[in-house]
Amino acid sequence: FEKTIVTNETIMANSQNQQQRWSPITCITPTELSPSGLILLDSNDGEVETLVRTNVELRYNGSGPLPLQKQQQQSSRPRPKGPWTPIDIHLSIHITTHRIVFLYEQSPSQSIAGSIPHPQIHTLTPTGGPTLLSPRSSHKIHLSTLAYGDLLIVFRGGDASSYSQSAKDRDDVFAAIQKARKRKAWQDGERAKMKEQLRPSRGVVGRKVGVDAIETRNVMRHEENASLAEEAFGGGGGGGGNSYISSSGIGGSIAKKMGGSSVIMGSKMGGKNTEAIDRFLIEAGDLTKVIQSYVAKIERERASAAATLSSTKSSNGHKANTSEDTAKLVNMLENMGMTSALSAKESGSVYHKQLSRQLVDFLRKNDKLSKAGGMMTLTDVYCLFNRARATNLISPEDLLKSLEWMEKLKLGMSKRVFEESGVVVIQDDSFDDELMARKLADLASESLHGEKILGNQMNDVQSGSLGPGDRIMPAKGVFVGGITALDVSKALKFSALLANEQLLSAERMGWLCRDSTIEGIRFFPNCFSSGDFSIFARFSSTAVR
Amino acid sequence: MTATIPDSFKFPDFYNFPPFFTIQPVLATREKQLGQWRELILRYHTDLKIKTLVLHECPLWKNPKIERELTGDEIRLVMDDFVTSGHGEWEDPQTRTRCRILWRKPEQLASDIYDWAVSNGYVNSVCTVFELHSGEDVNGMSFQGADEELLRRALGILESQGKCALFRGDTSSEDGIKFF
Repeated sequence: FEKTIVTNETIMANSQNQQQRWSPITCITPTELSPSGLILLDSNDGEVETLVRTNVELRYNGSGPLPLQKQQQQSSRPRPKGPWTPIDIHLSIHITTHRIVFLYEQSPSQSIAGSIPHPQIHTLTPTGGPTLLSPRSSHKIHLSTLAYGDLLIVFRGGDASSYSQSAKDRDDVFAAIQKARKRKAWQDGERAKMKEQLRPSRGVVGRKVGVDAIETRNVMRHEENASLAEEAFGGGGGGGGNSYISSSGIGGSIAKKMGGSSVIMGSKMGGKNTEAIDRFLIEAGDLTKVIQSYVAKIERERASAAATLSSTKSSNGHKANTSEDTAKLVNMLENMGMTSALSAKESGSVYHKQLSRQLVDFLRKNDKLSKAGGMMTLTDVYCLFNRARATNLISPEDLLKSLEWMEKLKLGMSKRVFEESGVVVIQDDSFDDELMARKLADLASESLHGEKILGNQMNDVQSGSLGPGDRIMPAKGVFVGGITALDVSKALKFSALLANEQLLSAERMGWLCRDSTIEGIRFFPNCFSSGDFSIFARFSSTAVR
Repeated sequence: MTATIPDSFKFPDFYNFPPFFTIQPVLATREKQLGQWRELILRYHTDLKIKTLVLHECPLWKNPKIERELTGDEIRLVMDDFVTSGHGEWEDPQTRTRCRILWRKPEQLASDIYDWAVSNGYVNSVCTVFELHSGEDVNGMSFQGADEELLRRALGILESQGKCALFRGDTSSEDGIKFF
């Protein structure tokens, strides 16, 4: 099932360790990947992925291996052990605003990545292509770097190995790199700091004192942020017809929060002018800074709240209010987790693979999947994921296709279909049906012992001796015990639909049996197989009339 | 009109288990459940010496203490299983409302009768049907007090096995049996 090429395999033999491979990709800047193999972008710095192409090669044409730089020699990175090979094939190339990343998928769950920051690039030249003597010469880009010497990127034309595709790939990549170098996004951090210094609101503080200064500063800052949003959205007059600008997502929520200008770009759309979009992308960096200042504020408030928690009781009410607000804001910010500008158009055939990796990362973050009980219905996943994305929503078909990849890439989660009802869920691979069934059987057994209240329940209710966890007897009828899907979902904290599926599955395994009445289905521990009905003997004492 | 259950009958514990009154969809569990129903029906009818189960009069299908009962379809299922197992026989196979309880399977009775005949020296001699179910020699035997129909069935089996022969008497009770 592994589609790695023979040459690579023979070099690496049966090693899993990245350090065994000694080739250009392991000699350039090492790059960290997420648990499911996605490139970790530096979102603090505003790094965004802009282009992906597959089936490229990286070559170093110098004699001997790439010279290790001084800092690498001094660092703890060990010398690779395998023999030197000057070519890496079957890489995917990812252009971001800050660097070029090469990704090599060694096995479904293991990848290697290396990158070249844009500032390192000295010159960039497209070469290759058909000539008189060699009509099918491959398309290349010659890269001259400051630290790594001269490298060659060869394009093989995507997954279909198409010659015409390789020409397009080469041109697209070249354009993307040029654009990124022009924009110099890595310098934004410095620029922003300078801007912050120059803000007029800071000057005010110098002149005023006390509460007045603080209040004025706040008001001025708000105005500045609002004007920032306006500039970002309204800048340039005309604009492209792109869906980036909408009233949702980062920009929209900020604009709303400011209570200021709610400029919707749509009304100003016309023609195919992409300059406004570029301008927006530049301003987007500043906007994310604003969000992050809010995040920092929340952290500070939280820290101070925790510090003074032991002291006064009177301020508890107030603290509860602020922590509620901060919790809401945190939630909102948490949901804006996406920094990749990937869209179906840009990344071509790897879209669904990438999407499935993103999905897995998303579900693992904050233990979303485990908190939901180890499985989540597709509708839940679809809603949560799209809400976090805000723009560039995925379609249901995309979700379904990316599910197929999840299992192939061995990302630790997979699709599961419940045969009888047809419910489809995403399930953690470590989820154990047996364990869940046992848990449910225990719950059911407990329910049989809920005889705390028998007979005088009205007195108990009135006297207030009933606590929230006590089992209430039905208004009429006999208490018999058993659990329903609703009980399970309350106890184990996942959705009632899933609880129902689990109960049915436990029944099929023989841990539970059902009691079907007009009120619904209740589940009991399977006494038929254990043969132990002793707990029901209590009914025999009362005579039947 | 459903017959009332006399206080003397002691219900098994599983009679108060609510799922007992829902035919289980999982086949493995259902097997055990139906086995328990067979046991219950048999014991009830033999203890109270009721020979025939009339479907709509049988009080077993409902347990008011836990407020559970079997639906019409479920009752049919239980009864069909009961009959298939050999413990019952439809008096009216078309309408299926009355079922004769074979508290002992005729085959079982047949072998019991023959064993008794052999051990009491009745081989090659004659005894009447009356003697079989109410005679002095049959104290404690399984076929004591048995329904005549049942006995005849058992004897029919013995006949086909070649272990006895039936003779007509003046009345049916006086029919003679010769054991070989």
